[in-house]
Amino acid sequence: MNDFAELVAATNFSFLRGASHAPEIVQQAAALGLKAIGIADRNTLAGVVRAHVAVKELDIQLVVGARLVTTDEFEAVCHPTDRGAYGRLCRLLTAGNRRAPKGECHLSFDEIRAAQDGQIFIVMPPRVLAPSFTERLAALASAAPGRVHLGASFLYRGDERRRLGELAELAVQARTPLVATNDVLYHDPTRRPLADVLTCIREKCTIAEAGFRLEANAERHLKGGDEMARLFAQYPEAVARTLAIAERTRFSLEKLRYEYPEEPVPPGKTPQQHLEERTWFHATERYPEGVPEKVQTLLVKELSLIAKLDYARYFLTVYDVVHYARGQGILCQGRGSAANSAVCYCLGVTAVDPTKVDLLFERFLSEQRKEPPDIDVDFEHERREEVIQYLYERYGREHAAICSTVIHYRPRMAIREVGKALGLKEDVTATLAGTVWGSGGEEIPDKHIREAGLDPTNPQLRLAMSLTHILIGFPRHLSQHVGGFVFTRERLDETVPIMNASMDGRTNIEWDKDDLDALQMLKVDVLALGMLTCIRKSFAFIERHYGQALSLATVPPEDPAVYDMLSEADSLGVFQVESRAQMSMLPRLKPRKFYDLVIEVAIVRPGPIQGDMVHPYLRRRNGDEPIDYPSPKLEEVLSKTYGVPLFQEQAMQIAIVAAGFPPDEADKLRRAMATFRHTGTIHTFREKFVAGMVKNGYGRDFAERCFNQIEGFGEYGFPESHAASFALLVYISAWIKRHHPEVFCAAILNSQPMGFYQPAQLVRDAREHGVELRPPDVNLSDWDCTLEPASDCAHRCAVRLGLRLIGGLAEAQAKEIVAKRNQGYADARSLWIRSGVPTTTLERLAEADAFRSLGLDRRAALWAVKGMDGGVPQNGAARAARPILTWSDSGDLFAETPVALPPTTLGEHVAEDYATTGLSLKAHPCAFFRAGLARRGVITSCEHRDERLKDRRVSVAGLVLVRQRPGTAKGVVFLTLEDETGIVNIVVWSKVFEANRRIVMTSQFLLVRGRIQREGIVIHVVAEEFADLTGEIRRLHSDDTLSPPQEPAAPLPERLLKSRDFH
Amino acid sequence: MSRIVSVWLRSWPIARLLQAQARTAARSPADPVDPERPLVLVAPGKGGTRLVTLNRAAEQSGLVAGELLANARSKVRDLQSRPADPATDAAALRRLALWCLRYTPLVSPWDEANGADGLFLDITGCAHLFGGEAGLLADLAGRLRRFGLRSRLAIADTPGAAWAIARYGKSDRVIVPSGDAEHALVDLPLAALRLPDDTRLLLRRLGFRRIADVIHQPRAPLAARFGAHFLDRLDQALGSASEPLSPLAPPPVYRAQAMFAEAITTQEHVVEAATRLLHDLAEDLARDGVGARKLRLLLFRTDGGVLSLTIGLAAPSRDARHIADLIALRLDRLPRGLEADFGFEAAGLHVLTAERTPERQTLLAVADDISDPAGLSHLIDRLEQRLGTESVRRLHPHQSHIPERAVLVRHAGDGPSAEWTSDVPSSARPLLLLARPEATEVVALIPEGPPRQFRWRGVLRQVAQAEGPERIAGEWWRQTDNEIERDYYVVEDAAGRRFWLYRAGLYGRGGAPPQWFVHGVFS
Repeated sequence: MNDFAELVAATNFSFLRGASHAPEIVQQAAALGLKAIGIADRNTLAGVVRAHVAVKELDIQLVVGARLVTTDEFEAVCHPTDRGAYGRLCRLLTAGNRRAPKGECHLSFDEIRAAQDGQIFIVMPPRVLAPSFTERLAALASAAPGRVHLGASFLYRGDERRRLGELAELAVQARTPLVATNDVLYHDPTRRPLADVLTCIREKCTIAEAGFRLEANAERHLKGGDEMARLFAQYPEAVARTLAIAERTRFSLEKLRYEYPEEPVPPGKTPQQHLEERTWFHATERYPEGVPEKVQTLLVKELSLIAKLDYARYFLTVYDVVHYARGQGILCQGRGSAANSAVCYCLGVTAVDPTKVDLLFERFLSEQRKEPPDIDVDFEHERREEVIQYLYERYGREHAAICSTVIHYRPRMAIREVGKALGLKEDVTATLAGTVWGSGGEEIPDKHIREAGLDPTNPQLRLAMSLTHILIGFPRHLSQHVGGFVFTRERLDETVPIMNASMDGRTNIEWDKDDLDALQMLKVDVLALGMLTCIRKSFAFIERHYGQALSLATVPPEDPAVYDMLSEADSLGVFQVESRAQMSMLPRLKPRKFYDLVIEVAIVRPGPIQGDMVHPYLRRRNGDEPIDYPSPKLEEVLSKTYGVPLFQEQAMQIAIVAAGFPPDEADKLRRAMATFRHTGTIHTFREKFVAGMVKNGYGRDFAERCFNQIEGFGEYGFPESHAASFALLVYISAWIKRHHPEVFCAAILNSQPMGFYQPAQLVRDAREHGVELRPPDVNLSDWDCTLEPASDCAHRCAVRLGLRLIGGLAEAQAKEIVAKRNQGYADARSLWIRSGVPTTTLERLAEADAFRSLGLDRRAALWAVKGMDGGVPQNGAARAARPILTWSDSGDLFAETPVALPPTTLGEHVAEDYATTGLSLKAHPCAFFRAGLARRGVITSCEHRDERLKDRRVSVAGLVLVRQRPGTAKGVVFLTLEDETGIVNIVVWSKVFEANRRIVMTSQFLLVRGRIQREGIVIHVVAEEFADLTGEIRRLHSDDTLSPPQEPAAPLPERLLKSRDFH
Repeated sequence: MSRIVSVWLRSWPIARLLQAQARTAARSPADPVDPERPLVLVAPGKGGTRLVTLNRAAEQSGLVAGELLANARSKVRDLQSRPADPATDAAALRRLALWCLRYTPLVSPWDEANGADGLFLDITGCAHLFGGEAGLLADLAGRLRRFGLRSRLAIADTPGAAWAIARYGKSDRVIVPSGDAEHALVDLPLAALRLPDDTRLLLRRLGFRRIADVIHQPRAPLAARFGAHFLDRLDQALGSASEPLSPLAPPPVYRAQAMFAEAITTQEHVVEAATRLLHDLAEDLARDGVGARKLRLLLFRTDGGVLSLTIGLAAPSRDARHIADLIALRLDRLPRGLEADFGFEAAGLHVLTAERTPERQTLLAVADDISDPAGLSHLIDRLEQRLGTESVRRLHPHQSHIPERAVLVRHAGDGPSAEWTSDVPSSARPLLLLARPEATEVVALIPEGPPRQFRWRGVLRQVAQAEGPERIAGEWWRQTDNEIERDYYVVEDAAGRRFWLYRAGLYGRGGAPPQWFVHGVFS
């Protein structure tokens, strides 16, 4: 057995070059008995952490490095020998990244030489050994004596003996000893086809055109010591030298072991003392009547663990961020596992009272796990940027950055690119890509391919599919994470390379969250949540118009009226429970207390639904089924959910209590569940779990079932703590909607885009709750929606829609109009002159019918606006000339012959309202067709609620609001229709869907015939037949009979309403 | 007052595509479109590929022009799509316009502003030749239908009115009596005025729908809002403003005819006559700086039959002697001879394809320089006339690691294409590759040692020197099972002869032991 270390191996983080995952390389290297494996990706360290993790359980040394490639193609693999050299490598790559466009790294030879201190180089010779190369080799060797080597590979090009001789001679001349390497691109020769396809993707050509850009053979795989010794039989020292180099590069990523940034701590105190003091201080704020004993116990336990693990500075960091936000009036709330911590609650990071829900601290922080805790904090989506800027300012760009997200090949993209490389027709790849709904699927089953009209046995197709299958999951590029911040004490750019993000001026590091986790670096997720914005705006309205000051903590709790409303499924716009699935669950669950909302949030999730836990839970809750517990111990765990496990914590506790897992092992199980589709480690736990339960006296059958259930919802289940954090926002948003529907309506419209519904539905819902709504108007509206005194002098305000609802209107110009209007504009011309906005903006306002206060309807207004600058498109000269006209602020300068404009019908108004603002306060489009619909036997949404119609066959019709085809529903499509009286929920079974695919997928206005299914107040129409009425919409524009049928499709297809489609 | 025919060809780009498909169907049956199923033409647009033209089935499936192809696919399974090709469409429209010259010398294909999918024919004073306007329309419609084109036709006093009625009129064939345009137009939608999209949208928003809605409105406010162009279009339709048509110029045709006083029967006389015709043509060709690439010789027999010969050239030429030589060679190859019977009374020579000839300095000295490209193309021409076309081939370089795939064989007339690339990554290649690798017995060290000795064509050769292996793996994406890895060696025998050997497959991979082949010899 000859010893050997491969020091030049690329992973697939050498994008579109490396054809193996880092773990594959490392595992194969270990299997071949290599002493060390050197990962060297092209100008990046993005893949090294994965290798670092993979190597942990193997008997092989990892050598961390990068392959530096200059802009003029000098290539040297660089392996740092110590922390300092590693820092220099990071800074070198950072500099190269920062000056190049995103995804590129521009290095020069001089920079590499300048960063040589402590590095070991293996210079990779080009095909032709030009003098310029030998000069550089010598130059680098004299700069870093004894640390520069010349890489030699045996790649079966035919002339190896001559080439190795030349290299050996060069090595002697330049004093750069020869080092044997196979310049690895993949772990196994079977990856050659994929490597070739990657080359094609990179070179944007097909495999038939690629020619000599492809390698001639499959030799660039990992090779064992014996084979390398045979290939380098004449140069045994080149093989032996690899071991010496590995010996010298003892730098490990372990050395980056995190040190948290210093937090300002009052003098004379340790961070731990400071944290404890703050915690107890705020605890008394949280519990003015005295801190309950349970909480005290928890705090003591948590604080001692924090002390032991030395995480105090981390908690202080998060505390600081949250405090900053509070001080700025920015709403925020911690979510996720942090809500399991009483310390976090007391510090104000989370809002869930540990006395109200069961907390499982192990889920958040465990001694054995040796991982820093993971705290995610949601901020108002409109103001998150302020928090981010604060973090940059506080820690500096040298110590704080956003981490990256690795964008992986998803099935659609993979099949597209593989298909293109193999020269498949665009039609075919598009069809194949189309067979994957969403992005989750792993392998496309033959059945789908056949359904798409292709032959799965076609060899060309088979080849494409099998290559696609390998490519799925490959990293494609790095992107910026939505809000994962990393903090370091050392200079960040000496810890990890920093790169440009696609957004101007933004940067992120090359590692993603998992990498940071693995290296135990400190990170905080600064996330954006639209509902927090909506709640803050609601609180502001309530305080201003009704004089009541509220905060997340002071909204009156446990209000029965709120629960009544939710039990009626009256939850449109309410956080988390507004979806159709939630709406049909609410009347069944009938929440009466806060904890019911926690369950409501958690139960309508793919996990519990797939794990078949919903119905047992409901039956037991309604008393239709006896609640039994297999053991008293499990009763403790499961009693609050009537014996049905719903939360991740419960799964962990079952493992602890019933299967005898130690807590940290239970946490590993949770992680395995979350990722079992990818790593397949779950089965190792299955046996242990089942055996453990059997040993503790449970039936094997029961144990198996238990595990299956856990497995079923593992991936999509919520932790209880997370559900509890969300439930609080459910309650608060429901409280606002219940007591101040006008405030809720205005606030949620001002926070768009967010949530599940569009302004039209939010407005309709508000009107149904008795809110008076007024249209946007140039003299009366602000940019945002506002509240005005109501006309009926009732205590409740009316909502004046803001100009923001008008599509395509620039915010700055709308605000200009508002700012310059003083006592109001007298006519269109003075509006134009005084506000200084371009006529295109005024046109938009006219089209939205916002000139009513000036006595102009939309046509009259449009006519007036169009005549303002002589029909000439606005240009710079005309704008500049305008101020001269201000002396005659009032009337027109010249009289025009009046033109009789055709009157606008109500139908046209409604259609135009939808086209410009997405809603109409004048009428619902369906109302115009009601007579015709009635003749066809169509009933309204209101009528279909009649209990006597249960199980009867009816026809309904309406605008299509939402189409959903959830992955959990086996091809079933859910449609939501709306008519002038309300909403109709349609269920389309997959068979019916396939037969009516086009109509279901494309109709805007749809007639459905089907059977009414009813459970309590939850009503569905199970579709049997469809009629597409979309063409009717055009008839809103009066009698459109004048276009002969031959007229080609209208150039501007009218789209009343863009449905929201979730595939 | 002029009379204009407007021909609107519905879904012209698709009709054009189907016509082209019908013509080439016999030659390349691959990848046909089914006109009965939804078919769209697409072009890159904002946000991705968008639909440009749809066939009737696609329209009936609810697709509209302008939408994203990806969205269209989600609506219609098996949607057929082809890239739009406006240049080819325009060229085909031009050809159709040429054909229409049979009706009138003044034909104008529609430009972009008119939709580029139809033609104007100015038939002022021509209609009586076809049995009046109705007769002309009927004849034109019938012929277009036979070409597989769906058309809508109208005759009116102005192009604008004729265009409007062809697009939006009540029936497929309308004749608007002279002076009656306004009456015919008032009920049509404003789109019939050929307005830009934004003007149409604005008019619609203001509630104007038909031409009647604007025809009597005060003109100044209209001009202020819709621009002068709008009023121009209105006036053009009504005939109060003129709109010149740009007539199509017929392409240059080179043609010579000769009548013989006495019928000729011998090949010698035919060649002589052809040479005369060539001399007639050469002047015109030289004037235009072009040479013939493809010719047709027509020999009209006294009994009414025609002998038609087509001659192609490797390079454009107007060298009468050279072409006459080719004609002679061609006549030699006629399977049943000249079949002159009672003799030919007339001959015609048509240049079917003419191409620009580069002007070249003529040599002062007479030289038979072999590198002279004209000399080579003459040689190719002569060989082809003798051996038949396609029988003279030329090698082209092709990027493949597999040695026998590194060249492509093409028709010699195609001319040399790319340069042989110099950066071939592989090392030595023999000048002569055997037509087929020949099996050989080899003694070599396992697994990868070079041959020590080998027996080829009965001769045992001792290897003195060897280099290799050069490993060339198969092209895995080809669907053949003959893609085994090969290890190539350059070997030199004791006598200094060098060979290129390979071993198909590797030792230690199981199965039968690998076999050796000789693939080439070095000169």
